[in-house]
Amino acid sequence: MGAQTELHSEARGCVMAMDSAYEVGPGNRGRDVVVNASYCGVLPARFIAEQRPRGAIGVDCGVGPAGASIAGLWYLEALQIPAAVADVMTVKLGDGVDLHANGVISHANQPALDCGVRVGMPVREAARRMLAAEPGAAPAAANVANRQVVEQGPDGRCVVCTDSIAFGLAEDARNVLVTAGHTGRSAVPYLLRVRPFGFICSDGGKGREDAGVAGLRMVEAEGLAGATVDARRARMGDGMSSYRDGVISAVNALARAAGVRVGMPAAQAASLLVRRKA
Amino acid sequence: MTDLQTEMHRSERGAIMALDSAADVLPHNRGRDVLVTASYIGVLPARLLHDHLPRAAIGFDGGVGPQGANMAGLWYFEALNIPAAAVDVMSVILGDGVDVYHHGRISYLNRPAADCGVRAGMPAHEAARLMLEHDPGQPSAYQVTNRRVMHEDSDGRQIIVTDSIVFGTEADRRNVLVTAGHTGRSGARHILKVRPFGFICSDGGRGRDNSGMAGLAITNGEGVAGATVDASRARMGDGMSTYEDGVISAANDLALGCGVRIGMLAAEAALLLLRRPG
Repeated sequence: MGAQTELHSEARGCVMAMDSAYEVGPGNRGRDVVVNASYCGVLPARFIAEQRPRGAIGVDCGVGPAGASIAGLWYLEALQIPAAVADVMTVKLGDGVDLHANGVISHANQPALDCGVRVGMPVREAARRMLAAEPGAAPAAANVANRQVVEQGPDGRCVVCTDSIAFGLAEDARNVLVTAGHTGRSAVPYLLRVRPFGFICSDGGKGREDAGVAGLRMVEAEGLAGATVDARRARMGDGMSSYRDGVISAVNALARAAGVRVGMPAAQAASLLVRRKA
Repeated sequence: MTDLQTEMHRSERGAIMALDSAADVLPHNRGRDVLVTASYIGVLPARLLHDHLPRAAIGFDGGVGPQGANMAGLWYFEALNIPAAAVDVMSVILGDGVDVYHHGRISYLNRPAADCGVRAGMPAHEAARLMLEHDPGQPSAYQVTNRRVMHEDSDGRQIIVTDSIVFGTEADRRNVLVTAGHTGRSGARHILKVRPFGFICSDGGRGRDNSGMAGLAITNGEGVAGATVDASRARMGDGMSTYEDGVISAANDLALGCGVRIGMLAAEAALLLLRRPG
């Protein structure tokens, strides 16, 4: 058995397919994108990281309990190695060439996103993008804001998604911010600094004494309308997940007055908040 | 906001500092202090700590969340060999670092934290002390096997749990190996290299054409009895999860012949494999 199959080659490195992450080798260091038909848990990530390839693509194996089958993405992110996984149902496990030919990306880490890799992209294209991109230094944490305008409201107001309320800007005083940290007391100074027209954050899993939503009432007196989404349904740290996957779990009086209700999809709640009467 | 860090304990190695938010990290924490934060321990707060990497970090698990996102920072920290642990969100007041120190119960941890002696179920203040007073190891990927003997029969055959079939040893020819990688064609190659008396691996989420369990027929042809567990129930890369959480999803004829059945608990199946007439 040939441990690695070369699928594409250029001066800067190759796209190499292999049946298992254990077959990533010293020859791949700093050069190659390794398309390996293993899951991308922490264990295979340890083996991949020792060889420091240019990029890595594995299989999501259905994500698994606590995300264990893809947790290697976050391990490799800390080392600034672009990494992504393919939906397990698109590929043959243990067949690296098949993963390259038929895989469709389901999850990616930030360095991979920075290379232009996207969810839904064929593995072969993701591998080419990883090979073509200059690795670069890790951006400062504050620069990984993933800011995106998702809806234009009346009077120039927008619904803006970003990963943390800490990334709010002065201009967001007129916007609805959809973010992904909890809404406990430590979020309050950030909310009051930005003073968004409306906000949706995570309930953080609520915690003891509903501490994860305590901020809702604290900012109400300051005129801020806000709600939280259920942290079991939307990924913390991912503002777009709050918007797309979020289900409202708690609201303050000002948000309720605008029609926001528990159980409502976050996108609908954001729409109501951006149209509320000032 | 004057006092953003509260010193809970100090030794000559550093201090245990309680923080309401991971964003309150300071340059002098670098390499010395254990930070007990009332932030979730996702990748985003892990990035915030990257600039001033502390000795160790504790956050809350946010109820784990979709794809484990609310605690995925544990794996980010592991890549940097930083001990990190999460506390059960329902044990703490979100946004109150001192409360996390006093009331938090550890729910998940990474390998460097385990090296320091931290265990699930432990109070956060005890985990923080262990992280302050102990250094993590610096093992290679091949050294993190988590090998444990779960059972031994009178004839000396053992049920061995380890995180991957590649960690199987010469002695395992007489043992039943319970591991946590998929059972595709590449898994089968590793199994046949070890030739255990019996095995239980993951089905890897099955994949296209049930490729994640293709190794069952291959090994059956070579006289090796084995079965897979459902990857949606047991964490890949964690042999103990296969043993404790695993539910059999498929078995080869040799395993079926000794009574292993789909839907059976993995621990029960392992015992049947152990007692199979050789």
